[in-house]
Amino acid sequence: MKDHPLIKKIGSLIRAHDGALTQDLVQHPGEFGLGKVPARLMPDDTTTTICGFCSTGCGLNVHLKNGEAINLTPTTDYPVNLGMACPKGWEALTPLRSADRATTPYLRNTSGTLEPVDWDTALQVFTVRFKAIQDQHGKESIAFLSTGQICTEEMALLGALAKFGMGMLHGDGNTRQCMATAVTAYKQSFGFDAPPYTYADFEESDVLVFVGSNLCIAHPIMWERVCRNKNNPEIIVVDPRKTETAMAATQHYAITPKSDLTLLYGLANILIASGWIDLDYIEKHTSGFEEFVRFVTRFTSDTVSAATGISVENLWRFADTIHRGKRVSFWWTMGVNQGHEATRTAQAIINLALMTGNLGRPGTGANSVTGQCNAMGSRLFSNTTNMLGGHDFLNEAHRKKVAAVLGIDVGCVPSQNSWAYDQIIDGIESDKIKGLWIIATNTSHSWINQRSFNELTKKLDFLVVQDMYYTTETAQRAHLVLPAAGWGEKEGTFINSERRHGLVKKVSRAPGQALSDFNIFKLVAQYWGCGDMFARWSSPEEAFQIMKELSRGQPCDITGIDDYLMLDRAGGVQWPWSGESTSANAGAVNEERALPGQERRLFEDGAYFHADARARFLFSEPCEAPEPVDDEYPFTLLTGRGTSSQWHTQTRTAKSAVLRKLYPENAYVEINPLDAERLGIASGTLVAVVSRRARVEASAFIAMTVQKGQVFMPMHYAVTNELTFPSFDPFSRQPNYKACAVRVEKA
Amino acid sequence: MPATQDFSESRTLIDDLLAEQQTMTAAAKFSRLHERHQLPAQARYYRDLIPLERPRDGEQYAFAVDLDGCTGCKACVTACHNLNGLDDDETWREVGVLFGGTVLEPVQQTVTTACHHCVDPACMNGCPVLAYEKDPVTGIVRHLDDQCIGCQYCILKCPYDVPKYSKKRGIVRKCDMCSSRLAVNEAPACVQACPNEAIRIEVVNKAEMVREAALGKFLPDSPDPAYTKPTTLYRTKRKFPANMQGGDYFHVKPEHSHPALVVMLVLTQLSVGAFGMAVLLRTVFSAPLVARFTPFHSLVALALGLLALGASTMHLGRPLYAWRAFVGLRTSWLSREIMAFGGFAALASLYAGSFWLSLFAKTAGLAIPGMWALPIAQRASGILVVFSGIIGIACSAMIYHDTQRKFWSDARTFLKFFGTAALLGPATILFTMTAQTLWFTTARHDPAFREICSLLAAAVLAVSAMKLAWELSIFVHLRDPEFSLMKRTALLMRGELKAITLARFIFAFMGGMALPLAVLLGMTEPAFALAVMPLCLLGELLERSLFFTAVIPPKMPGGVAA
Repeated sequence: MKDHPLIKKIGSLIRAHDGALTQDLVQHPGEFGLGKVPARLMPDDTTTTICGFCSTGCGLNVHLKNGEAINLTPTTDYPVNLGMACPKGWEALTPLRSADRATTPYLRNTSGTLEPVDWDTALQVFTVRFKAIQDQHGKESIAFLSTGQICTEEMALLGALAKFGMGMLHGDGNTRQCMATAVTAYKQSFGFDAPPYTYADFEESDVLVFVGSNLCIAHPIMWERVCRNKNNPEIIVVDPRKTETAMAATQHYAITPKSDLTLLYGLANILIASGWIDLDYIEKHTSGFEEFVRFVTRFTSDTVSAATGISVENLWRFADTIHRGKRVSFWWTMGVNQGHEATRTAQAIINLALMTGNLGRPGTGANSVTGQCNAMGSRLFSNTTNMLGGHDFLNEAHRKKVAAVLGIDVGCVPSQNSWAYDQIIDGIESDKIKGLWIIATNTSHSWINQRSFNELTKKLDFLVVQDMYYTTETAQRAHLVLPAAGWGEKEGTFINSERRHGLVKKVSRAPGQALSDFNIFKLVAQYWGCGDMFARWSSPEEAFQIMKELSRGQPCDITGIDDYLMLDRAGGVQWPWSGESTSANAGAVNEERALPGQERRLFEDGAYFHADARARFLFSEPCEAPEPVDDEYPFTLLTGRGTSSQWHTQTRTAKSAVLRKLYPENAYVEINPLDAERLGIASGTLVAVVSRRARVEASAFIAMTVQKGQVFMPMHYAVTNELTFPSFDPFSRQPNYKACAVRVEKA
Repeated sequence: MPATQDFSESRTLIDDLLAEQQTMTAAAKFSRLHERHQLPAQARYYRDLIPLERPRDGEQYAFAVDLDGCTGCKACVTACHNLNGLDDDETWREVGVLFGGTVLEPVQQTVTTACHHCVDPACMNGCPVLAYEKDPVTGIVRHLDDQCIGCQYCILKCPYDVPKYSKKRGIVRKCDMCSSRLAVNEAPACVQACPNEAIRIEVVNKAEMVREAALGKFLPDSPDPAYTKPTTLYRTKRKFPANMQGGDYFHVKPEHSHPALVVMLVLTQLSVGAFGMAVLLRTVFSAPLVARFTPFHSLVALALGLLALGASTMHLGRPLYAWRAFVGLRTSWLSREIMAFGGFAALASLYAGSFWLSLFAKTAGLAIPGMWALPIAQRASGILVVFSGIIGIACSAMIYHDTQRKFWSDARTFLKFFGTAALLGPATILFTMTAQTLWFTTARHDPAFREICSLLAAAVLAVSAMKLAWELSIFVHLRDPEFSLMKRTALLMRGELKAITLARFIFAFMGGMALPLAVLLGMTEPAFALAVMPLCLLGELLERSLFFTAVIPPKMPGGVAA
């Protein structure tokens, strides 16, 4: 009776266990090694690519259907992320489908609104306007601001086109805002911009020191590697705030903001005075140590303790931990890079590694953790600060080499250095820069003391913004918007924090008329009239072959990488890789057509890139922060990453409904309960944060994790950079985002 | 324009590049490198994170979270979203944060949380259509999507904010611990995706979980586990300070106002109150005058009652399946409410119909056999109507009381719901009587009519005064030294919900106090008596809207809220 079809039918009508709604969530084996996937999203193929957000450079396994991406999972076998990704990586495809994608060029019309135009019109206007400015104000009066977010091949073509084809002298990238300090520090100390490490070092240290790095939140997948460390390591975090990473540490030193340089010199002094240094390494591989010893003696524990707020006992504990470590690695991120004496701070970290012989061995290193997905590509190939391939504009031999590789007249290659980002903006103020081309960055949001830049854009005769979205704060100020295809809609390579070239593939169709940056640059070249000069740059992969030639003989030599297929097969390749058996190529698999080892570090032979092969001890007297607190502005404003689901100015992460759920919707300011009580501020109420530049409103969040006298605001909300004070490291010209003076009052 | 001549041909570089842009290359160029191998490659990382054996008797699967490994990256949330193919804004896992400690020793702890697959799931117990089942072997609490009628009662019942309503589907959906993955020894999406191996699946002893729940052992600043006996194991080597608070602890926001439920609740209560008052009048006053009024009273009460039940279906995501509600009678107060009001509607229709039948018979001069028995039947059915209505209102109140939300628990909901009936009952009768005198003018001067009106106005006045005093007492909690749940409700009513709160009290004062007083003082103008009910009704609708919006639901610690 129970099995009668009619009874069954009635039964399932009364209690339905299946049906269309249930089927909606059914999973099927995805094959391709995927495990189960939603049945609706069954791939018919998969391919790997590299994530386009941060510099970790995670491998993502894109699920394809009819050649197009329908879903993704982290790549299990990729040597970087070992099957994991952060929320941004998981959601990487979503921002591509946003409704506010620029699908056509936009030109500002006479009534001041952006109006869709076709590519031909856009390119004609681009050429006519920029050339007119150059005719009137000189070739150098137009400049470009590039990015760490596009492919290396695209950066190289942009840099070559702008400087060699269009006659620009000044161009910089948003990497100035994140990595310039590390670049300068490494160049001066090691002789080349060369982060020495590989991610395996996270796993192999017995002591890890993080300075100004909230790795758990900013680089969760690097933190994954720390968690895989089997040595029960000491983890030391230097950060004014008790961050997620500080919570996970075994020792946290909550220093007074911007006292890191003093702290590091103090540690050096203790290590030297106690004989906890590697004299043999120092003697064989470094120079300048005696001067450094003399310099740091004045950093006694008492003075350092007074300046940093760290007790003498804890200073010694810190130094002792470094001393006891057999494999000590030092890591730094934006807390160091974005400071007023950032280069020397980074070098003070390098000095500690050098003097304790913690370089060139597994689990060691003075290691800068990069910001953007292709910051390293920008550092080596954007033709801004460095000439293509890590060359020097001031060096005649370099100019000749680059001109020869590109097959262009050496006369086209400028023999002067470019202005840095801040100098280009100053150039607008002084009427030296009249035209600006901004590519894949959001200056109107991210630039320090943002209001001043936004005012200055009104002085520009012509502002072109090339971006995926027409809605970015910067695009909204442009005269011309060029619609760019985004990550996933084009091919090319990124270079991650550990020097790994990884392959980015085209897995999604760009919307409307959007074109890859590479294709836009080709069109610009054609319309500008210098198309022939770049005829060899026919595709990203051809550009990669040019990059290989440019790198020949350089520390960043990649001539051993055959092509994209090899990159894909090898799981990315760290530079250098010339294919020959040199010490820098150590770890090579000894096969006929060898694939490089997947985890290779630099300086295993102790040979640095200076002519004498020695690393330098470099140092300066610490100086006071440029905007100290006073009675009127009694708080130090710290800025930084809010959550792992937010990326910089949020042009992409804000497009994912899921990511939006994972961070607070509105700007907030973290304030210590003692300060909040004194000011009569309740958690969750709206307060005003006031600096000498601006007064903005934010929601108060009372947290003991921020110290008394300090407040913290995430950088992702546009109001934050209305407050910041424009000061710059003198060597790297990187903006000092991390400390300015503010007051907090009831809104 | 130097380049122009290059583009005079029909096909330009722009055309070529636009075409090239749309050509997909990845699959053709590279995919052959990626074998179509069958085994989930990721298994090497999660093999140790799922149990080797199925649970035995008295055991079930549970999430185990290593809090020392959870650093707040939130990969689990997005992995769950992607690997389960959820809607664009749908998430089944959340990551919150706890803050505490002292200024010198601050502590923060991120917390990943999803369905706790409770030993005694409140969602399942409350569901009127048995759309939840707890797997007898694994203990996983599964939601039967095709059984769901979209009443969203589980959302009110679950103290952890787990079931999520999908408006476009008209149902709720929730975490099923990736049961189909576990069935083939694959790890759930969140387990697969945690970079720090902080989430695993373990087999737990249910009796032990019940004991732990009774001891209140779960997680700081989280709902009392004694209610549903959640099974998730939160582990840490640290000792949390006593003052740990969720990142959203001080963030109070209005909840959904559920307009259909507001209408349904207020009008059913009005209907029951009106029938009650009509029956009472017939019992107390045998005057023929009352008999003249009864058909219209009962018609209005019935119409509004049926409107209420109609409105309630507007609340459902899938009203066509509402008939399934009888299956949950054993555990669900919502089922019981639906049954009780179903009975009430049937009885009330018969009851009201009977008066019109006799009226019709009388007017048409028809002799219907057995007419003599009608008054007795009417008296009996009147009592039954009121009785079933009272049961319905009690079930309504139990629905909310049973959620264990402070603002709805203890006597609060009962007082409100029965208060509404006691207020709107006489107000409605006052309205219908006065309205009827607009054409039945002779009654207006009948002393009995005046007496009844005064009594009704007095009743409205008395109930209003008590109900308003009771409602205003919430504001006493503004003085609570702690950030209590009732204080949060009061803060909401004084803050974001200020306009509605003000309107609620103004309407109630006008309709429930000022006008009845005028009637009592002998103002015979019908407009005064007529305005009582609409104003009171508006006031009650606003009160009920606040009932939903100002409640503070329990939840797991959330993220920093701004």
